[in-house]
Amino acid sequence: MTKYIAQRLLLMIPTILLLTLMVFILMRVLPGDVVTLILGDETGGGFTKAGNVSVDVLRKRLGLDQPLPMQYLTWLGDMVRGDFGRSLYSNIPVMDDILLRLPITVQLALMGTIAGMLLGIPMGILSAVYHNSWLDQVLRFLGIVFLAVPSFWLGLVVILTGSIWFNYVPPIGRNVLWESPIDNMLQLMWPTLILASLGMATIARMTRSTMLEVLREDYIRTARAKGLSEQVVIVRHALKNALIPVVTLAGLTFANLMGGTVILEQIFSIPGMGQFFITAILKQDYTIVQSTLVVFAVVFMLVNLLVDLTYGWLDPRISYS
Amino acid sequence: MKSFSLRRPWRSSMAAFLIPLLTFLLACGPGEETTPIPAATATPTAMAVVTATPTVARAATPSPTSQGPAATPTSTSVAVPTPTSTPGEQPKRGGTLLIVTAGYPESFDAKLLTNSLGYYEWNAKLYNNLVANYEDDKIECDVCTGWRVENSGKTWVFDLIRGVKFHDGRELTAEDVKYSLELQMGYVDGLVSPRGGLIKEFIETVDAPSKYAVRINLFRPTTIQNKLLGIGASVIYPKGTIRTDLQSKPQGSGPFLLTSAVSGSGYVMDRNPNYFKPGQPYLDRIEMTSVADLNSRNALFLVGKTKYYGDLRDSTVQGFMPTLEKMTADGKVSRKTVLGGCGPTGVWMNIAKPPFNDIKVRKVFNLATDRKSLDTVMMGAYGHASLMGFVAGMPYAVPEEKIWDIVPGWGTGAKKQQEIGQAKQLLIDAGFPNGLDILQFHTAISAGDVHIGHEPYQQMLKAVGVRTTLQLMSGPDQLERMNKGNYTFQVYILCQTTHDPDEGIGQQWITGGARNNVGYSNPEVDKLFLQMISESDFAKKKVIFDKIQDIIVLQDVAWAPTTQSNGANFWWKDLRGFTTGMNTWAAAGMWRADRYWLQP
Repeated sequence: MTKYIAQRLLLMIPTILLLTLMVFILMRVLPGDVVTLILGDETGGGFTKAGNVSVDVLRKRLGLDQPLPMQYLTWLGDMVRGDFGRSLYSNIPVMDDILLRLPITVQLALMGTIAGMLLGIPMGILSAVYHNSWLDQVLRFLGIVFLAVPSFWLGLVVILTGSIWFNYVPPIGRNVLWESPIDNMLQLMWPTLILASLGMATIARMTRSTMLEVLREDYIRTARAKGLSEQVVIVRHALKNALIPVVTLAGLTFANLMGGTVILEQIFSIPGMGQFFITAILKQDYTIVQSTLVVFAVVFMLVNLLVDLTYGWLDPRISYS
Repeated sequence: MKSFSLRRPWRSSMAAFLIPLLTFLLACGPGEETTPIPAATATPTAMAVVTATPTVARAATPSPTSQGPAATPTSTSVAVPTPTSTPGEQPKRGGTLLIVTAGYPESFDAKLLTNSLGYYEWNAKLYNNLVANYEDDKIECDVCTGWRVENSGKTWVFDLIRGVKFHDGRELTAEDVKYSLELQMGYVDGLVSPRGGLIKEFIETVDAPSKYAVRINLFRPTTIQNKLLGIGASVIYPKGTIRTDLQSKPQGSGPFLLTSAVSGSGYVMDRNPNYFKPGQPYLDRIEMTSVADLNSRNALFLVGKTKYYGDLRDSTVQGFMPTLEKMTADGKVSRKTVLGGCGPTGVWMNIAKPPFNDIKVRKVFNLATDRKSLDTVMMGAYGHASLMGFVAGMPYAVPEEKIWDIVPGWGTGAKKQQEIGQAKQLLIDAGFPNGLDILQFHTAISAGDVHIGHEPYQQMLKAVGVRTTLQLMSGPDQLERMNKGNYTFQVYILCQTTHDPDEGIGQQWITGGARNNVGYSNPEVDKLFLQMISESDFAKKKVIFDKIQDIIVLQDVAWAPTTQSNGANFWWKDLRGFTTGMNTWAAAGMWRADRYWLQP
């Protein structure tokens, strides 16, 4: 097992290197000039364009006058040493910003995924156990509804309904769990439920289909023939075997939510990674985009590794030794 | 279908549904009650929808040349202005004000920030200016006791208030003012302030003849420099401040001290107990939070959590405007209309290149532009007719009734149909009997939401025989292409700071102008512009401006202006001392919040 984990971790290195190169090139071929963007269309702050030196001064100050390979190697070298660079706009170390935002995004993604599983798995089980009953139809209908409704719409419904009818808005700004737990929970409650509704729908559908498959297996019939209670048959024999694709899905959902909650972060004023990342892309803040993508990639790969390791626990036939 | 009966899996699943439901009900609860303040206690200034008038503008800008040597203005300001409140009302100390804006400033360097709105608004509370603009077009002293004009209007001497302290305890002196303005003009490190660097076109040198006197020597007699000195970019730093100093903390003397800042999220600012204006600021604390979503900002204002809503344009909040108007009518909130920070709005044509180097083609585009329809689409019918970015009621505006159905291209109804016919014929005359195929810039996001107008405008052009292909591009790409003149045409909006024609014409329409992205050049306009910026008398200046406007809009048809939206400012009536400056965002004074107070 240890050897397997070490191998997987080592394999991440070339993946990350390739990613850094791709991201670097992609960011530089995007049309538009970050220096012009920082200084705006009145770059010289005067009447005429002639004689305005700000663009050159700023380009040099930001190190953007260096050849591209040099810029890439400098960034890469710094990153290896743990320095992810500084924002081109604020000069704040990117890692400071990431550390500020990552916890709240991880928390939101985790809560959304867990809540989605807590809702989706029972729904899927019920749908499968009561296959083709009216309960199954209702749950499937709910699943499709929540899949179809975009999260931003649900977010706006919460905000606008709350303010217009109930004189209520959730807390705003940065409320981390260990500093202001109540505000944190009140703020994250709605986005969690919205994310959960999406996760719930996909997880429920996946659970239903895998459960249906498993429930038709011979060993389930054997378990029932042995006289085991229906609960034991479903939870201990059927569900555990049906969970592998569900866990994969949950892992991917969590990884996607790490960077995919931007709209909800905007609506609920949560200063998380999604908002940070999108703002950086719009402003072409190269260092933030590059470094954040590396962080996302690492998180994504680690989650995948964790999911793979979970398979072994769920299915004893899978071994990494 | 199978039958269904309650068994254990069902019962355990019920909890999963009930818990969120109960949480929802608990969270919605009764909520915080906001108590509307009776209309009788409203501030008189807040009741009316006010727009700046020429009278205000003239009063605000002393006119050395027009008044002659004997009438050269002396001190026109007071050291400690009184807050705007209902007469007889005593401002009350205390309270916390929550302010939400769309963005977060990337640094504390107000001189280098360009993405205005919330950015100036955030930093203004931490700094002071030499002069400030708190209300309408009025420029008043901030850290000065007054000013006098010498040398036939070419020299302005400001006497500073003694004992003004930066937050680190150092005293603010003339050397700090001199250093800050030189930094702004790019004389210190080569970086000219994008928004405030325009002062270098007017200010030749800044001297500090004594510790408490600043002498500003102008290239020519003018008054716009005072407006520019009152914007958020013209704040005062301690001498020697470098850019990196401002990335981690502010270096100001303002009414509020920075207590904490969470990057991308918010500031907490506490009252500066050593602020030089007696008794001010009245608020104990200001919490600023970035709320990116417009609906969420609306919601926060609606429930009264945030007390003012002041960085908007009517058109931006068109969906929410009926609610705001109802709240105003119900006496819950006050409203004041000022010029939006962004404008003029219109169709930018790259006249340096074919086909727009042909005036006939420009006329085709101008005549094809259905302003009424575009106004409905882009401005939610909240727009006003404007030829050069000044709307009715403003000093340099042409009255709307003199534009609609009179100025070519501004026809409505049958007149518009007639113009469309003219446009078709002009296109044939211009050498395009089979119509014109051309690329049209299309940006997904834009200031003032004008990007909504791209596709309707495409249809308008189609009606006269111009077939366009929309070229979708990002904001950075658009900016770079415009700066390099590498585009065809687009619906666009230009944001300014002062909305003084010296700024607008000077940057956009003179030959080689810093923001002259249409490639316009007319020696007559260049000549008139030099006359205009040297003219301090409003009436004479307006005559020159009108000539320039006629040449650009009517004679050369250098662009096709469309309607423009005003700025919207709403505030709850328990917030007192709130004033609005020359436009929605540029004025440092209105955002400084040293005069705000909360009625318990």
